[in-house]
Amino acid sequence: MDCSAFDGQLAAATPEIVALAASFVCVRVTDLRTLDLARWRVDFDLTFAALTATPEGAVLHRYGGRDARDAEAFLSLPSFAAFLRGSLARFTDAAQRPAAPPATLAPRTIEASPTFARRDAEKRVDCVHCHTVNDFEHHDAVAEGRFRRDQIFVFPDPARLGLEVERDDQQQVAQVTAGGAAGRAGLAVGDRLATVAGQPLLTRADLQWVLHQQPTGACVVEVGIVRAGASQRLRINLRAGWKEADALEYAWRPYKWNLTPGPGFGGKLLDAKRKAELGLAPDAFAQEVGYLVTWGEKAATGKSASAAGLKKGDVVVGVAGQRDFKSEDHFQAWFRLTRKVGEVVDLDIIRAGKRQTLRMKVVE
Amino acid sequence: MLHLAALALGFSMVSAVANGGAGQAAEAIVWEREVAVAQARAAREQKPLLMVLRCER
Repeated sequence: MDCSAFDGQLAAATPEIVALAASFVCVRVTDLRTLDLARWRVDFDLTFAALTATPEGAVLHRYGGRDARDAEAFLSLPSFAAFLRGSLARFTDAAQRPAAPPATLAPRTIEASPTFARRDAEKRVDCVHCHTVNDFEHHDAVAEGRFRRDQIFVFPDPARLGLEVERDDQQQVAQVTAGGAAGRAGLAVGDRLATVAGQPLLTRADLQWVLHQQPTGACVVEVGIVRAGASQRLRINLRAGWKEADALEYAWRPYKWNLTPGPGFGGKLLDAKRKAELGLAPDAFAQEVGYLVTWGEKAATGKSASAAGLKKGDVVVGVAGQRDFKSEDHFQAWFRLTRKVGEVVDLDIIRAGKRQTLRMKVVE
Repeated sequence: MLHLAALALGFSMVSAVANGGAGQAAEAIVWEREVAVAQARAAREQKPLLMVLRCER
């Protein structure tokens, strides 16, 4: 299970974290039924996230984050301690403490989602996982005609700005991409991020929350930094479409499974030994078809793959000329982000040691 | 309330050590299980909330 190592570290918390936690009322949520989603928002694609808040329900700071490869890339005891220390400091400083949310902010739970309620009535959802929130909010938006493609790019990665922060000290800029928006704004490695869009920033998740709320069109995000002890403000100019992650960056998100069109098939990647037996390079993409989606709401996709001639056990080595997929998740994200309903794609496969190309129509 | 230490063993184990029973380690973080209960306690004790959302899928 993702994030188990960090969860274990937290279970054996350091004396510093135990002492800090004693200044909070701590609650652990593993089932999101009844959670007020109007107040408590985190990146629900994550398997571990945290937030701090006033008793009135104003969020102080958020914590949690990952990159394409590692679910724990930005989880660490030093950064968690800093998150608690900074939250406590903001809570106890009347000038920094956020105002209570407006009383008019009506509570909203997953049970109020029409598509969730329908699914739950058909077959009770035993445990509402975090990613379930994204799933049913997405289904509601589609059903109600509110869906916009840019909504899928939730909690944008700092890479969308062209920067990355340190894992243990998440206010510190660790990388600035040459030619990226942050670099053009003058941000440099070693700068300390203090505010973003006027909000105090402690963590990578704080940055992502602010980015999440920005428009996907061209916009300006102002960051307050500390460089060599002096405060500065920089304006990061973001171009239209800046939120759009590529398939590899997006691949880890469970959200991808909501996107259409899907390929209608999937399976595990072959190991190096089996690739060698087929004459493939160790880093070549080679996916053994383990299933065709011929059931449920997406049955048409699997039937289309089947009609193209694809069978369980075939080894797919290329799709529409692409052969550089790093994982099953990467392939699935790429297909769903880039393919269009109605187009015909080539599936390059190996069956019984022989290469073939099948032509598959992409369907909804 | 429950011990976070138990959670490393899997959430199903929590009930065995929950509710501040015998053997509660002084060093453990104490966790509520209900947000409403935690929020009420936070208001009463004038402390901030720390909420962990853990997806055990």
